[in-house]
Amino acid sequence: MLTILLQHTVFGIVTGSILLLATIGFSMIYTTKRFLCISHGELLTIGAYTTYIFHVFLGWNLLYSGVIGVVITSLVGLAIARGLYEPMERHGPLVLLFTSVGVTFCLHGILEFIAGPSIRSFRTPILPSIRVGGIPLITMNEIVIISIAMGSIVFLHVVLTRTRIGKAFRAMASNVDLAMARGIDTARISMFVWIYASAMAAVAGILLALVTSVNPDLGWTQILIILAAAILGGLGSIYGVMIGAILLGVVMDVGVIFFPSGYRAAIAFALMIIVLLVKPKGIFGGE
Amino acid sequence: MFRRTRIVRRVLVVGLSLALLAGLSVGVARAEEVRFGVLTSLSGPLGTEGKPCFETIQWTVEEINKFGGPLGMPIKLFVADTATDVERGITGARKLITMDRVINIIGPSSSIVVAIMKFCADNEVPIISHWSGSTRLTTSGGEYQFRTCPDDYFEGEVAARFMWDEGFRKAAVITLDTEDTISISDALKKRFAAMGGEVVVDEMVVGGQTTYRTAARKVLAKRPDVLFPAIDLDTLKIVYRELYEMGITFTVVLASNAVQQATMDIVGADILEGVYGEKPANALGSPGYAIFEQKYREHMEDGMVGWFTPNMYDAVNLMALAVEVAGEATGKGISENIRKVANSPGIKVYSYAEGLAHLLRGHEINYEGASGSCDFDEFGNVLGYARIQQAKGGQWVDIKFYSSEDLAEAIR
Amino acid sequence: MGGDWALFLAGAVSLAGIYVIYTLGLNIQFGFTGLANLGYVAFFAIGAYASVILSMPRPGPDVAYIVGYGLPMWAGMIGGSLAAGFFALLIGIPTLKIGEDYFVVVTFAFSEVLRYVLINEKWLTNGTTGFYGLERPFGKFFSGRNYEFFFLFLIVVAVIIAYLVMRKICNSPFGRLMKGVRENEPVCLALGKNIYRVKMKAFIVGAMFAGFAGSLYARYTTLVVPEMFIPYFTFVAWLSLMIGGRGNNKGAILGCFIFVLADQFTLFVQASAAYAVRLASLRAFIMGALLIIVLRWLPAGILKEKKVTYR
Repeated sequence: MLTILLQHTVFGIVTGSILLLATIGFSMIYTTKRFLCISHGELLTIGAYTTYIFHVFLGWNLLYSGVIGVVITSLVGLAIARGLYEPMERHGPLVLLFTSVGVTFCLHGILEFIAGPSIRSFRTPILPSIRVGGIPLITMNEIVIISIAMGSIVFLHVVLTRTRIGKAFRAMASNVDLAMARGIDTARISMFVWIYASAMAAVAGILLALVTSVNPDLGWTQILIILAAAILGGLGSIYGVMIGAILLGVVMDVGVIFFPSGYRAAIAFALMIIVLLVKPKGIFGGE
Repeated sequence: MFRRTRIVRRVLVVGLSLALLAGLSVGVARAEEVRFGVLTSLSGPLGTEGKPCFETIQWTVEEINKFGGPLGMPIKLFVADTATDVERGITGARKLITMDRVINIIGPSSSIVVAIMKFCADNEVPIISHWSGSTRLTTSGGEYQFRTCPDDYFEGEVAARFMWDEGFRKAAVITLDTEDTISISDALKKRFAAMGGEVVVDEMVVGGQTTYRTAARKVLAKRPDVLFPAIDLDTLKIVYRELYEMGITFTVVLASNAVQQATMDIVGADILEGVYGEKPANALGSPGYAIFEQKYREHMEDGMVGWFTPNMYDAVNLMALAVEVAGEATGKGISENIRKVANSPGIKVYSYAEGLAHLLRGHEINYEGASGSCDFDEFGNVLGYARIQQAKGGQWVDIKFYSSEDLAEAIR
Repeated sequence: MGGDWALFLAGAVSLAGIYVIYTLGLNIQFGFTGLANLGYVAFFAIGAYASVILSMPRPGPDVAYIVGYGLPMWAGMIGGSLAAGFFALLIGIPTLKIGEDYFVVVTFAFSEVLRYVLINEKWLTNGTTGFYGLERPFGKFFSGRNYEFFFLFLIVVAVIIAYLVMRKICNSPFGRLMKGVRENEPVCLALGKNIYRVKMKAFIVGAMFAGFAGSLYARYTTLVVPEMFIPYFTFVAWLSLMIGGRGNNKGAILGCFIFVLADQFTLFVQASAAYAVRLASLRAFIMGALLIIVLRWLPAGILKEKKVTYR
């Protein structure tokens, strides 16, 4: 039983790591813009497809293709924000939320129009899991994923605490009006947020595509679980969201020991609702 | 060897009758058209599979029209895409029947067939589906609803039998939560247990997850002899890789949903080597299939015969022949006469041309198609064939064939 | 050989009518009270399933489900809307007191969880097979073609009743209160109003409308399967409401008719294998773009909410 628990916990951490990458950007947008950006999921898909084009069609190295994918996705993310979200900001978060739903449909339509519905796959080598005490525990790919997730946390932490823009971001996150009054250039921070968040989405999308496949629904299937992770950690708390994502991953994968696998995603939502009942602002929210 | 000569002879007969008909059809006046309705998945979940099927309808109708069409009238196709969605299926059927006044509906998937059955029967428009294996249709329809594919139950039966025959006694099953995969896996579990086997793991999984490691772990922990994943390609891509990484110690038999050429590219031919797959077989080796295959290669670009395209080809041919026999281009006519062309007694015919040639001479016919013998029972179902394939060097290679006679006793 | 326009339109308008009732419910939740329910389809599904389960005959031994109460169809429909209302109450208790963003996510998640339940709990819902071959109201008394017109008549009656009920609610003091909650919660709170109760009532009434629409929809399609109740349906209601005009019942009706009829007319584009997928993705794109455009340049929709000054 203990080994099973250990195995499932490790699976959960891997699940959570990808989720974490996908959720950080979403949460950054929420902390500064105060709306649920549903279209964030589609950026994962864009990241995966652009990388796929360079890697498989043009035959470039996966790393370079990935970097280009991230750059393109962050530019797309910025363009969408500039063109569609920023003009709507004065109408409040609900209108922004619905605009982002519209954007989601648009992006999904465009992607499917160009790429077609069929699934594609990155051809990555498949290696046997590393065994600990005879049980297959984790693969090299998954170690890379966890490392990237942890690295991105550290990187973000450094950015937020050591750089001017990071500090300004935190100031804006805690109080936009005050930040503006203190002469912080909110337009510049907005740009930073959109680019950074979209880039993170692209990274998550690429990793997700590596372990699953590239298809037009890639991001759409993730958005709800991203929302759950963000709520669990506490909307508006970047660090809370990181823990929320990992926790959600672990609870889902450990939960299926006790519940049917058909309810794997449902477990996540149930946890979210329970947490809301006990602590309405999420585990780390409202601080 | 015996078979081959028979095929050659058949092809010759067909060729001759074609030549005869080509001469006949010149003189026939083309007053009206026969309106066939196509209501199938061109987009949505079954869109990818639907495309070759639709193209098959198009060229089959072209071929039929070369002979002047049924009753000397060319067939005109009216098409609505269902997007594999129930509501769009219903609105599509309504539009085809009310506005285009089609005399039949070809190609809807299971849930849509069930949804439009009543409306179609009220309007005397027969539905024929080439791919709705749903067990919901096992005991319904027959008057205005037919299908040219065997029930999903059949696939489960074949997989169970193969697993049992190979000496496997402990099976694990992973099932995706969609209707067709569930009915296949339910049939397999029931039959495998009835044969005396044991289902040690029975996991239902949801599509669109990022990992299925937990299900994979449960399978590995029970050390089964064989695993039957009744899942689609998207899910198999993840499940199979994860199983492989954790170390597969058992045989894998895939359900038909994931046995495609694309599987080799998506999952990887190297790691799939040796994996089995269960698949509806069509009437492999029969003259009907030989004719179909030849035409398919003429008209279609992709090499491998598409999923359910022979069934589609048969559906269209049966419809056209039924119109010919009915003597009028109406749904009621088709419904009353389709069994006269599909079932015995009658001279066995293996293509539309051959059937038409005999009908014009006043003979009774029994259409034997590319997908199977196409004999409708009282509920409009057909029996089928199935085969087991194995992944070898990036290709699916046939290794075992089950005819409906082999399985007759199991199918009630 | 001309088409049978009357019969075609009977089907199209029946469908639009069901969408009207469905969208009216969203209008009371969002248009009047400002509750952004992103899982609205869940209540539609509950209504459909509950009405079917209640009015289904007792199951025989060879089926997977074990419930079925054999009630008359009208009782099933009432039961369907009550069930939807009951679930709204359950969802409302934890979520209506906390911020609107949480409400959005929880309702969205609820609609997904519900779909898993519909798939997995075979004893109740018969799994992915669902229930099919459902009888239609008074189906025995009419022959095929006539029945379609009779069904249209039933739907029209249902829409009129639903509209009148909704108008009554919205013109009542409670209607004012809902708008008050939407516009300014602190003021309502200061006036001693129980905001939570107002929201809860609007949420439940809206869900009951969705449930009722769902029970009609089940009779229109003659089957219920989990795959019918996808998030797309929530989006359809939202789009219709936004186009027609939120906070205005006539707007909701107009929006539905525009949406459903426009959608029906896409059927007249001959589908082809080469373009079907493209067309389907183009549809998604156009719907999304329409929502963005309406929000940006026509934020009140086609029919604006009536400005009423209360004294």
